Amino acid sequence: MAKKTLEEIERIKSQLTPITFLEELAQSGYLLEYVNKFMKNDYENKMSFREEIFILLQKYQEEPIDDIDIFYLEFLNFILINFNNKTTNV
Amino acid sequence: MFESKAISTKVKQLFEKVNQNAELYLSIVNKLQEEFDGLKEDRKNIKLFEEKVIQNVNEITIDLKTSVKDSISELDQSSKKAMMLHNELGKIQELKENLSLLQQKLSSQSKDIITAVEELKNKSDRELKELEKTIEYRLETDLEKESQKIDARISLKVKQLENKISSYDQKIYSLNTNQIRDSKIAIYEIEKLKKDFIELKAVVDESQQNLMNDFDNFEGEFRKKLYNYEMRFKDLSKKMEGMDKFDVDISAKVNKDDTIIESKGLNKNLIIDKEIKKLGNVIKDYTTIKESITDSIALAEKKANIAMFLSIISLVGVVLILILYSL
Repeated sequence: MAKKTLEEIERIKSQLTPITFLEELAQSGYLLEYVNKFMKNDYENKMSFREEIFILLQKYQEEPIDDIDIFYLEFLNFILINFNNKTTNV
Repeated sequence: MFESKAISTKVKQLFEKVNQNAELYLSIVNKLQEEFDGLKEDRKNIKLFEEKVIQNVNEITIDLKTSVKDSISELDQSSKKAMMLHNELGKIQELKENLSLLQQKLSSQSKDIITAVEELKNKSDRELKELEKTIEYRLETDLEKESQKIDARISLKVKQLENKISSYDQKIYSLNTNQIRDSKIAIYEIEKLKKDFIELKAVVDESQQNLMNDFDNFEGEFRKKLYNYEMRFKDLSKKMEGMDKFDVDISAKVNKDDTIIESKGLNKNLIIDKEIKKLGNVIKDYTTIKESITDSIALAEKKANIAMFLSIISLVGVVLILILYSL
């Protein structure tokens, strides 16, 4: 029991992080607009920043976003191409 | 990801389908892997079976080869034997034919030979009889001639032998007389040598006896002298002891007149020295006499040996002369 309570406490501690400015924007539903207006260059060129934005959007957005669909479809395409290549080589 | 509302439903459905397909694919791949593993094992087994089969086939082929070789060699040998037998059979048949021919020839020839032999026998009998007669006649004549010749030769030889025997008799007589004379001379010489030897021996014995007597006399005298000297030495020692006692008394009583004591000590030493010198002279005389006696004994022995040697040589000479005369 004690072990389980400790694990629960650890899990809650890990979730207890300070809310960032971008997270606040995502909660209010203005993150994508803000990024397209003020951080377009980073959003389009920096992959890590783009992934961070996508995570926030997936967390708080209520409507589907085309960029995320495209990202996942590209990823799926890449995986399928790799699979195809590997299976054909074997 | 699928709980998020940011992703469209179509994409979600697509991913679900992909997921289902992947699972299907995985199950198929697993099945394929299992089949592949089974195939691998089958392949391994087949390979092992193949190796075994190859090994067995190799062994069988080797056995077959050896058996085929053996059977071929046996066949060769048997065929060779058959060929030989065939050849021999042909030869035997030829020989059989030749034999029958030869038998016929021999039967015809044997009749001729028998007749020829009979003729020869008759002829030889006649010739032998003639020869016997001629040989008998010749032998008788030759024997008579030879016997006459041998008789003449024997008579001549007998005469020659008689002459030789008479001459040998004369020679033997003269040799005998000479031998008797020489032996008498030799015996006379031997007796003379014997006498000389006995005389020499007597002289040597006498001289040896004399020397021994001299030596015994000298030894007796020497012992007597030694006894006298021992006695004198004992007297002297007694006197010396007396003198020592006298000296001790004087030193105890009067220790003044040292000069008298010294003169007495000097006299004592002089007497001892004289006695020792005399003893030394006596020992020297003894040793010189002993040496001269041993020398004279050795000389006498040498002379006796020389005389013995001369007498043996003369005896050997006489014996040799006798042997030469007898020859």
